[in-house]
Amino acid sequence: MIRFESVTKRYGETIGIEGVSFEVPDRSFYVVTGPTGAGKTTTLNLTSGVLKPEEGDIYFDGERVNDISPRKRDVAFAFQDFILYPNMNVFDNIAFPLRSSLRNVDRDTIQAKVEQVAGALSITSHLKKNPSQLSGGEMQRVGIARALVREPNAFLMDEPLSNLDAKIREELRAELKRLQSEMDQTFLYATPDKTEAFSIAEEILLINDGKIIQHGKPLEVYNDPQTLFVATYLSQPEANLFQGYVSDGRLELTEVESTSSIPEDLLQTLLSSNTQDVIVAVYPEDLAIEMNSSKNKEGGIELNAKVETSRFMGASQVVDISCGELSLKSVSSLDLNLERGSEVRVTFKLDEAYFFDDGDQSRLC
Amino acid sequence: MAQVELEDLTKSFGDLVAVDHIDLAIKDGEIFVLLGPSGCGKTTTLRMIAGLETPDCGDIFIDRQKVNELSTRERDIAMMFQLPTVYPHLSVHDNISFPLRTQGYDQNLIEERVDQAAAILELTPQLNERASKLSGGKKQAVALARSIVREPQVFLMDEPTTALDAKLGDRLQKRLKIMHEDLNATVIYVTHDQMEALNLADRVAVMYQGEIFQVDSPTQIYAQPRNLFVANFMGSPGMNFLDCTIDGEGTIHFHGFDLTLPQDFNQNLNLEHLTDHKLIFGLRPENIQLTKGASDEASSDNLVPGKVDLLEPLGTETIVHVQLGEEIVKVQKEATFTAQPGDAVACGLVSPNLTLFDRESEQTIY
Repeated sequence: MIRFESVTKRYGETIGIEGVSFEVPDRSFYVVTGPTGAGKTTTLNLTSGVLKPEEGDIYFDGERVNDISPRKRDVAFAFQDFILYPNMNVFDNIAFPLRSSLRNVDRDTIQAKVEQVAGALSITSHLKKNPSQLSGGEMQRVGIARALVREPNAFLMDEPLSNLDAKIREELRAELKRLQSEMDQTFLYATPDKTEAFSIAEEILLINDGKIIQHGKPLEVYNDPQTLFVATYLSQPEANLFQGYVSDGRLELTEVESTSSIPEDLLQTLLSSNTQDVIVAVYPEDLAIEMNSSKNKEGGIELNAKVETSRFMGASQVVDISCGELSLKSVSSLDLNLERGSEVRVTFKLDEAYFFDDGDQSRLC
Repeated sequence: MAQVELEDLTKSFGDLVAVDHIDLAIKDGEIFVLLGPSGCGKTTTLRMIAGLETPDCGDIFIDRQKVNELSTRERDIAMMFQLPTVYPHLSVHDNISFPLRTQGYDQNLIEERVDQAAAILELTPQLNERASKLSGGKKQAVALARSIVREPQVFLMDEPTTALDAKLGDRLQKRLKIMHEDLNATVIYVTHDQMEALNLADRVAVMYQGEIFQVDSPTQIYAQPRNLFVANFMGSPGMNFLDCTIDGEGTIHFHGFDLTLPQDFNQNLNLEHLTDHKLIFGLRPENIQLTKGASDEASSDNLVPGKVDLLEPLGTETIVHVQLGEEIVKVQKEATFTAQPGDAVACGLVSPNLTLFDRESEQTIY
């Protein structure tokens, strides 16, 4: 088990991570996510021992490892850009870490291990090839296989799929998840990609500007965002945001000039927080498009809007809608035939929306 | 604006045939996407249209004029690349007006065009900012605005959203689509991302190993892929494929299960000819009906029993990988679906949207 306790690392004036505490459960697939510069790579490098924390402690299985060298920590690292040894064939590239003088691994074991990981990553037929004969996706598989061939304390992966084509990325992420569960090992994995994080993670750690914003199971975080940043970062397409003003038990959405009553339980929470200026976030899949006006149900918002454009997604479509000055997005079924400029109604339920304090952007309800 | 035609276009680099005798007719005013994996020849094709590569053979026509011998500048095109090219020390306004000023346009016309382009690309508030201060997405928008003001005949774009994060890429796509609708411009757009192709395109050409496999609208390519490669490449996740055979009654045999085909298949397929032929049965993840729990009479209802292999909860939906015998199929379920690996499930595999392929030629049969 890997544990960070109030770990801080700066690069001169710049914060790498600050006061970060988390625990990676044994044999779990744990994903650190957040935008570029959030501190993901710093977190991984502190775990491997390439970087030393300035404050705080790092533990492996209860043992403090701050002063233990990377080699002795025994973690395997996979990167975005692998460098394969060009003069070795694929087999020898994968076997390389096992042939280290530090590890006395016999020839038969090496053979068996390489074949096992190559099989798992579907590169068995390439074992005799030279790296120069491989495509980018195949090279990345070899690089991952080289990291997986050992049995270290943990596998650290820093955006290993980021440089690959979308299609290969999608296939490899499921393979990695399958591999992790078969190998029953601890994976600590960094990616800025929300879909990738959700797809593979048992738990995610969302960081930004070097600080932890929220952690937990992906869907729990998605459905219970604690700050506005969480709701916008994890939604794809991005969540719709409305400025709101609460008074006399009613909610006014100021940009779209809509006023409606607030369901009782929401109202109680809002009143107790003493906040009047709110931001209401609605995920695109919770924003429905209707061609005709519907009966305004309790706790529902209905707005007049205009279709800007729609984008085919295969099983669904993303519709960009303008509502006054606001640009909104809805994920809808394909049976709606929407032309640019069509007048439509967009609706959402207040109890499916998330309310944030307009000041500190924390979640109210 | 103009149409672009490619005839028998070919380009090799040493032994590698990058583009292999392709023909394309890109219509005036459409967003045409060249889609395919890395190394398929899409960028080489775009660079030949731009005049940055010389074809080994074949002709390129822009607005019915053969342009093979014309320089890039003479072809009247605008190009956009993966990394935005802006003049960092200039303001957004001066970046956008640059091509007009260098060609000595009238000041009033320059201001009019800059204002128009900035409005389309939502850059009006930033017009006086320095370009170096902008985010990657805004820089790409500036590059796009700069190419709009020239009113070129054709826009050529090589993965302009790849270097942006997902949200900025999404915004640029939306702006591009609206710009296209406003200007009715001819846009040729290269990407490896099939979702982006579906999102943006009026028509898509799927390329692989220098060849064009299919040219169609996104909805047609998605619903009626011409071969296995296209079927797998389009869609996220791609289509599921199961090895099968068919008998004279129109019954599909797959891993010891029998499935009855929808009526129109029976009517349209030459079953006699296909009997015992090696086939592949293709189904999109959203067209598989997944129910929880084991079923005793599974195969009688076109239901095949399986067990959950893994789940990908993506927030908006959940992708369930289900093991059916030796095969794994991916099923798209609503975000609220929950299950554990190993749970028994049943898959309804017969849908009007299924596709049959020939296993040998990998071509679509029906």
